[in-house]
Amino acid sequence: MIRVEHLIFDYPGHRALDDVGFEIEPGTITALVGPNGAGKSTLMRVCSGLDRPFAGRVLLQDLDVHEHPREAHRRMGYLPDFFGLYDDMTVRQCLEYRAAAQGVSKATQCDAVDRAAGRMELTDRLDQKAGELSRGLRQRLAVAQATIHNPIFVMLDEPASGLDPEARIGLASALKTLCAEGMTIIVSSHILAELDEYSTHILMIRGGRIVEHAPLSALENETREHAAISIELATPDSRLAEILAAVPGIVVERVDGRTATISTNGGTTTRQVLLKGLVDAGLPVIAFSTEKARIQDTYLARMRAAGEKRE
Amino acid sequence: MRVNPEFRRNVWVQFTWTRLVVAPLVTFIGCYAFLLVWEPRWLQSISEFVGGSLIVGLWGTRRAADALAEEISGGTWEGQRMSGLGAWEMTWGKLLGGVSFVWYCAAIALLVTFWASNLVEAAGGIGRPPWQVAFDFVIGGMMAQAAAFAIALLLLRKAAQYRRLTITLAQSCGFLLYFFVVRGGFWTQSPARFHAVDSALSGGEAILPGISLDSQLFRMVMIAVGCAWIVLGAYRLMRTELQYRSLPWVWTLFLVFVVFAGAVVSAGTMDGWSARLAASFVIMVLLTYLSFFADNRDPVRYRWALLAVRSGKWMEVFSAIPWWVISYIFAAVVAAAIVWWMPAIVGVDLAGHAAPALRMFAMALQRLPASLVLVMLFMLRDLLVLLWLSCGPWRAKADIAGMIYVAVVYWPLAAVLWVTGGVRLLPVVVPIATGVPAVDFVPIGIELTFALFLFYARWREISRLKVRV
Repeated sequence: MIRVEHLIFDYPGHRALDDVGFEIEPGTITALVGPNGAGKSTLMRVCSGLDRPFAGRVLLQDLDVHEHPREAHRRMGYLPDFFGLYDDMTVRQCLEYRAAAQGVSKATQCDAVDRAAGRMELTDRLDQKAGELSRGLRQRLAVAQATIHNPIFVMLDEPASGLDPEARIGLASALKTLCAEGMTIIVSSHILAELDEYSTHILMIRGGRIVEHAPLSALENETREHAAISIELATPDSRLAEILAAVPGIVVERVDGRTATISTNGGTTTRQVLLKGLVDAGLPVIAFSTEKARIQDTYLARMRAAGEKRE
Repeated sequence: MRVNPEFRRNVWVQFTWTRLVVAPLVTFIGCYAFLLVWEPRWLQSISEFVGGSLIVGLWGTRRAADALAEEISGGTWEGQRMSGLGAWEMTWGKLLGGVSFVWYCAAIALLVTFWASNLVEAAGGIGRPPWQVAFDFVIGGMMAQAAAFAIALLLLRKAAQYRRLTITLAQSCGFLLYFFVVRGGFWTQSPARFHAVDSALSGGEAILPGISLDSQLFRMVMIAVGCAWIVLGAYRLMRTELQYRSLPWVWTLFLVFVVFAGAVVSAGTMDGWSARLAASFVIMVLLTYLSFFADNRDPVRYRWALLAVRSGKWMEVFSAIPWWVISYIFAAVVAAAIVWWMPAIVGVDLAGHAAPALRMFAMALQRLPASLVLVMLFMLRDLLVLLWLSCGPWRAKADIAGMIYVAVVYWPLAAVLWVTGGVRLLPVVVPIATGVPAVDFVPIGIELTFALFLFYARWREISRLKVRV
């Protein structure tokens, strides 16, 4: 879908992107994550053709974005982190304008407006002025504008920032809808906990370099092997600590008479052995839960490793 | 027919029913009240002044400059850059659309002028020639507004944080262009300025080599040509803004046009090609400095161009070459042409009561080839110093620092040398040859070397890129 090759972008005296290369598969939602100043927004701006790189190229279905910016823009959508709307225009006018500006033919403009408003749940707001919308609705309108021409590739820079939890859930559902309609999406965000709600891939960047680019499922498989397990007994039992100490392949993080937290990279077999040992010993186990490793744990581990590697 | 979406959006925003009704209503009431107490010839003058200078020249230039600034400050500009609109659509959509209500009001003022003009002529007075008034409004106004738009586009690329200042500056330039070039400034504001009877400009002839034109026609042709160049310039700047890769052929053609226009227009007052080209040379020097200050002087772009030179990618080199480099080369070519046709002017009287500045100018003419070489070397020194400022940590203030540098480095020092009797040392501070090669060229050689050293050191420093970890 989109291929980035040896991308270098410099600001005076500072290299923001350093030989960045990756390829995004069609029909995926990629979470672009990294610390502040890592180059996420710069990468998005360069990929969208708003800034020209010092070296390297960005190919959208084999079309060089920087050699043919207008043609590329007809096929892609981009929502910057600080966006504005025409407050004096109605939602319908905003959408009609963007449809026309993106080259949607006059005959299909009305349909495009209705479709974009529908998937962002703005149909009942079409005659309301953009300046009167709440922040969450403004965000939806902005996404609707960026996708009104049915682009094949969409980039959203921090779309969830400043939104309340309800609006964030709505946004996640909207992104899944767009993906289901065939759009390939890159979303940058600082709210890592929510990315696994809708992302299929993760692209980590640090210091202008790609740290990791992998399907989220692969990371989940990897982290499943490094599970954290919580144990809770109905009544305190002094044998808990010594039973846990005897099980091979686990690390006891914390234990008291009634509860314990352990970590293991031994997979399902180790967990099975552990549970059997506890039950066989007659301990009153009322909870034995595997805590799913969260995306931010993986993120932090990767970033730490990348930092150490560079130092 | 497909309406330009950008134009249509501007019309949506600007035209409300209230505005559409109120503008003619207020005009009608104002005119009726005016005619109750004043004569029609005054209404004719005032409506032309209000419509031209105030509505088209002052308000229109503000709106044109604001057309882009509003997008940037409102955060909608990136969305527009991401649209499928081409540079030309974007340019005229903003230029005409952003000023559409202004044109509506100007059209009302124009109708009032025509109506008042008819009343004046019916009473035996001198009315306005309608097509000339309309030409001034439309073509002159468009030229001024396009100038404001282009300057805003240039300045906003350089200093987006000073929005109000840059917009006011762009508006001022557009208004002054309208007021002095289209309207003729303060001294041709008489009610019959379009007629021969009491106008200093009209009724005469513009003498060009081989042809003689009516001065009114000549003025209008020049305004139309100027308008076309400015609109074309705005379009090219928009192309750059929208990330199109453009070769600088329009700027090069413009320089060629200016060289010949300067020579042709000055033909009426000067004899010989070298004297005529002198005007072109002065304009080239000014354009070199102007284009230098207009450039955003991005060291990354310069480094990219240098790498393209090394790898022999000439199309990329030409697309990245700064306009001031082309202007400098043109200035050098025009200087060489002047020297070729006339190596020196003899018989210039240095004595007498002429002002020191004029006498210094006469000294430069006496040794014209050496003085022209000095001008080129001094310019090169200035460009290096200004580049050094632009690549430094005070990059954001480089323009203002550069302007202060140019303001103090020449005439104040030359004036001090003149009054203290150090005329022979003038080549140290101004490009005036004295005829002694050691005095003429050694000081500027040292200055140039020092400027080159400063710039090179700074260039090396910023080329060592840091990667944030």
